[in-house]
Formats: sequence, C-alpha cells, structure tokens
Amino acid sequence: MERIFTRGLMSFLLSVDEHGRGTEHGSGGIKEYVMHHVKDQVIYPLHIGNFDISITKHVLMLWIAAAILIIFIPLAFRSKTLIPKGPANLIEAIVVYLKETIIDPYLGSEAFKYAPYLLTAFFFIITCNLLGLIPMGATATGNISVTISLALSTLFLVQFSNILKNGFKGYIKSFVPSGIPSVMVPLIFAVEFLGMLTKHVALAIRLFANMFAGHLVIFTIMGLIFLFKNIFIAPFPILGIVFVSLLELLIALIQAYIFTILSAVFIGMGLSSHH
Amino acid sequence: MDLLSPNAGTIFWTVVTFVLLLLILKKFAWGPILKGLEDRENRIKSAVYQAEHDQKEAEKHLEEQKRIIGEANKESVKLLNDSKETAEHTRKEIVEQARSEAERMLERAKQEIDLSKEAAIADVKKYAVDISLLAAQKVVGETLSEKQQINLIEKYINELSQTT
Repeated sequence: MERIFTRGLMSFLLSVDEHGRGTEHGSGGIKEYVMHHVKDQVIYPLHIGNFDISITKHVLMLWIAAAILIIFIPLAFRSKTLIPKGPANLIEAIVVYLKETIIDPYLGSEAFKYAPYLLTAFFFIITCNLLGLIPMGATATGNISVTISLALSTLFLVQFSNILKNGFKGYIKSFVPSGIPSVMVPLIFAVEFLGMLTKHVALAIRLFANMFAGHLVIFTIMGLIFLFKNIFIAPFPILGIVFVSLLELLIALIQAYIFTILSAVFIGMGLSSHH
Repeated sequence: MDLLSPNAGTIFWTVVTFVLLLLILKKFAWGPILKGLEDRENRIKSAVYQAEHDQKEAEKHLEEQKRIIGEANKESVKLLNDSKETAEHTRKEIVEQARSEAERMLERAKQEIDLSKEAAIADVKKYAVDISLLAAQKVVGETLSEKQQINLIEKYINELSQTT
C-alpha cells in the first residue's frame, strides 16, 4: 500500500518514471530522497530476547520533545507569582484555553481528573509536530506507530474511566442501547464495539496522515530542485516550501487540538454512556 | 521499516515515554499550574466579592452622609428662620415698647403741664383774692382782725341760714 501511495504521488507530482532508476533498489533518486526524510530509521539497534526495541529517529524525537516539556514547563513556572510573566504566561494561556474550551465543557465536574492527561497529550503532540518543522528534525507524529500508541492511551483511558464510573455492568451496557429486542443484543454489541474502536483508529490515522502528508509534500517540492538541477528553478520550490511550511505550522496546532478535543469527547461520552 | 505497518518497538517506546511524561508533568507542571489557576480564580472571586461589598458599604455610607447633610441643611434653614422670626419679634417689641414709653412720657408731660397750669391758675386766683381783699380792706379802711373776720363769717352764715 505504501508503495502504491508513494509511487502514485511521485508520478503525479514529479512525473518520475514508475520504473525509474533507483526507485526499487534505493540507489539515489527522488523517491529515495523523500522517503529517507519521512521514514523512521534505526539509530541504535536494541533487542530484548526476540523483541526489537531499537532506538529509532522518531523515538529520539519523542524523547527530545518530552525533555523539552519536562525541563521548560517547570522552569517557566519556577517563580511562584500570582500573575505569570513571559513563557509561563504563554503556557498558562494555552492551558486556560484548553481548560475552558475542551476540558471543562466536555468533562464537567470530572475535569480535574482528566486535565493532566489531555494537557500532556496536547503539549506532547504539538511539541512533536513543531519539532518536525525544525531543520534536521523529524516528525514523530508522522509515524503510524507513535500515533497508534497515543490513540491506544486514549482508548485505555476511556475504557478504564467508563468502568470506574459506571461499573463493569454499566460499561458493557454502554454498548447496548436500551429497548432493543434481546435477539439483536449480540449484533448491536458487536456494531457498537467496532464503532468505538473505529473512532480510536481514526484518531491515530488522522494525526499520522496529516503530519505525514505535510512533510511528504514539503520534501517532494524540495525534491524538485534536485530533479531540475537548475538554480533558476530553485526559488519557486522554495516559495512553495515556505507556503506549505506555514500551512504545516497551522496543521501542527490544529491536529494537536483535534486529538485533545476528541480524546476529551470520547472520555466524556464514556463517562455519561447511558443510552 | 514499512510506512503503514506499526512497529512494536516504537509503540513500546512511545507508550513508555508518554506515560512517564504524563506522570512527571502531572507532578511538576499541571498540578502546580492548575492549582495556581484555581487559587487565582478564588482570589479574584473573593476580591470581586469584597469590592462589591465595599462598594455597597460605600454607597450606604454616602447615602447616610447625604441624609445627614440634608438634615443639617434643613436644620440650619429652620434655625435661620427661627432667629429671623425672633429678631423680628424682638424688633417689633422694642419698637412697640419705645413707642408706648414715648406716649407715656408725652402723657405725663401733658399732665404735668396741666397740673402746672392749674397751679398757676390757682396761684393767680389766690393772688387775685388777696389783691381784691387788699383792695377791699383799703376800701373798708381798716383791716379786719382775725376775730372780726371770724365774726363776719359767722354773721354771713347766720344770715344765710336765716334766709333759707
């Protein structure tokens, strides 16, 4: 699927011959160049038994993002003033915005329990997204494994919060609307359960596709420079890259916000699941 | 590494990183920040409440002050009117007194004049009697002694009683 996807994009954007030189065997070429930049690479191979837990480029970016958050947020808030200044003010403004537009409206009285998760998700995702826009950086959120992990976290949180709030019986019941014939119960249960899973899969795919596609476009346009090998052509791809990068900046924000708001919505739905 | 197939190692690291980040940030970032927000909200709330309360208090005081000033104003106007009235009254009284005094004095003067006039008239009359007596004596040629005068008077009285 990946091959069809990339090849289609390549032939559309670059008019590269589908059987062009090097596309299959990785000896140079535009596709190789683009893929090199958007795909994950092992930096430090690591295995525990048969389990491959190699440190990859994206894992490293995750750690850099986490380190930035862990160092800079407490650092910004180290002076305990009533009205924060500078970076603390920026972070606080974002926190207040998220609290007032997402956390409080969807979670109500239980907002304080889930606020740390949603805030962490937002700041982690946006930091990863923005790190991808920095030269030499890589977009960890453009990796399906990363977004699946984030969506899984939300999935587990939603299930656990539902079970804790409504009990296991209530949790099972939340998949079966009341007032349906008993014959239909297994079918409805399966449909509702799949529907729930689909929402979370969509959460993973949405973030991944948005971040991945943006970078694919940026590197593809950049590839034009190497394709034409002409200095007078170069300004146009560069203008294109600037434009797409600005768009990416917007998408980085929007996707982090969407992930957070959907997580809050799913948690809120789970908490009040009385059909 | 395929683009769309999840990699177990990356998933493992992401979950570990995310969970650790969540725990650390919850303790060192979100906890204090959210608490700070709540504290500030409470402080602002109480400050606003206090301000409202103070304003009400101030308005009440202002109203009270206005009332007191109004009363004082009324009081002073009343006092002024009273004193004016008193002054007028006193003035009239004094004028009246003065007038009556003057009238009384005038009256007394008149009486004195009358008295003096009467006295003068009496004097004149007595003087006239004396003169006439003197003239009569001259005419009679001798001065009647006191005894003769009394006799004469008794004689006249007797005559008078005889005629009646």
